[in-house]
Amino acid sequence: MSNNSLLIIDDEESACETLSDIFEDKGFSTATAFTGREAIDKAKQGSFDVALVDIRLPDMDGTEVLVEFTKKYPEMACIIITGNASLQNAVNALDKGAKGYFIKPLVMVEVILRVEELIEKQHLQEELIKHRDHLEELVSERTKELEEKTTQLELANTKLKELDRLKSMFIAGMSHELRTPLNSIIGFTGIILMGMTGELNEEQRKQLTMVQSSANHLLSLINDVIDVSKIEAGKVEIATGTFDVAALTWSVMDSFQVAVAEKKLEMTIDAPKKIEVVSDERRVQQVLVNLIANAVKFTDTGKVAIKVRERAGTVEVSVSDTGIGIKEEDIEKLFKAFGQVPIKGRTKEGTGLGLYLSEKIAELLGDGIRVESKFGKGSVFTFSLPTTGTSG
Amino acid sequence: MKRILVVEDTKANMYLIGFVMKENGYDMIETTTGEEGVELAVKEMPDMILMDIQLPGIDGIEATRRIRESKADGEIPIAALTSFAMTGDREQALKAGCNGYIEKPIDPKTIMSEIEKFL
Ligand SMILES: Nc1ncnc2c1ncn2[C@@H]1O[C@H](COP(=O)(O)OP(=O)(O)OP(=O)(O)O)[C@@H](O)[C@H]1O
Ligand SMILES: [Mg+2]
Repeated sequence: MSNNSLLIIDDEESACETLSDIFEDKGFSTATAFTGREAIDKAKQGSFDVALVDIRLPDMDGTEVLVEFTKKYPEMACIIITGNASLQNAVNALDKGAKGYFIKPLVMVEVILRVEELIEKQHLQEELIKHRDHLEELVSERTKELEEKTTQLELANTKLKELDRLKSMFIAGMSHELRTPLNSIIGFTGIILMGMTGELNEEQRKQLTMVQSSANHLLSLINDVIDVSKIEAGKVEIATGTFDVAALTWSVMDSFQVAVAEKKLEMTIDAPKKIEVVSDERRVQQVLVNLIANAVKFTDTGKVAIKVRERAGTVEVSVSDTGIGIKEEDIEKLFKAFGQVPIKGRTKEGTGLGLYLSEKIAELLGDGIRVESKFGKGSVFTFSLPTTGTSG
Repeated sequence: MKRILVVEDTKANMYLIGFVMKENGYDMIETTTGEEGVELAVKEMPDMILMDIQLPGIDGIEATRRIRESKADGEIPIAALTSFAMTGDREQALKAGCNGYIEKPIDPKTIMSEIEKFL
């Protein structure tokens, strides 16, 4: 820290005193030395901002003091004072690190100005260093803060992911439990409806059939929820085996005959007799059921056409309909959980989990589901599975 | 009269299966635990076993394995009772020595024909 302190080195006592008086008047603290030795000792004891060094000293050359000072105290500025002017001396002194050079007799104003100038410079320098250090400190503080935040965020993130997984596992487990009593409801309803416990009248049969269909609906919802939570927890099991996807498609289609007839729709299938694939039959069935159920559900007139065809190492299955269609801007909604497109004058049927699940499954088994649709005209949903070869 | 051992821990399910079997002229031996299931299989030598998978104590998979390991096994047909979403159960059941599986919910209309496939 500079404190406006001055070390005056001159073998002439009177010269020392004059300089000292003038600078003390200006608010400097000063110290004086008459020999080189003394100067070096004084500099060792206290720190000075500026040293005025007379070249001619009784014990040594002033330049030696200069060299010693610039080496030991680089912050201290040295000004050389000399009695005999020679350009060589001046150049020499400046070379050795002097910050000024004055010839006796001194023009005091110049000396004062130079000293003040040097001190001012030191102040600025110190200020600069202080700012630089502060900046570095700030930067490292911020960096530390950011690093801490990042670790905290990472931790929170892993916690959240774990919680999400636990949530999904909980829902899967819970839903699994819900199925047991539901299974009894479905079973006993079936027994009574079969007449195994005695004759039923028409109304009893009608109402019990409603109980049965509601229970079945609830069961399929629970199964969907289990699947969704398993998929979200990354715990879905895929059981691969070889099976005939053409035969599977035929049989799924068959299960929709009644529904299609009720709506007076036409349903066609265009598929080879046999195409073997290595995939998960139950899951493929699930996707097929969802797609055909949707096609039937969202078509009021016209037809549902199912196509199965082999294509360079894959089997492509498509379900197209002449139904209500989907607007371009609504397409992305379809594959979201509970994503449904409300249509004026249509009652809501279903939950909106079908396509979400089907898409996830189709992604696990192949490369997802593609949709092409024209609003008011109809839609085509397509997915594909890798084949293994034998077909015919 | 054919005798079928049913290992099932849910009372209502047991009653349902028992009801349908009685109607169809089958004899039912029942137990709610896998451990007792293994014992009864060895002692009673039923014509077939219906084995629930989720059981208290040892599960249906372990019980099947123990029956298969026992000397008195006699290759009794074992059908696992599984739920649709539990794909893993089916595979494990087959690996443990089940001959097949019957899916829950038990459909009274089809349960007997499914059982008959194993006899
Ligand atoms: N073939 C289709 N034609 C027109 N819109 C369709 C068709 N298939 C699906 N959609 C639209 O996509 C939405 C989501 O379909 P998704 O199968 O996921 O649900 P859902 O059929 O309504 O209910 P869930 O399948 O869960 O019983 C439907 O509600 C409907 O708006
Ligand atoms: Mg649907």
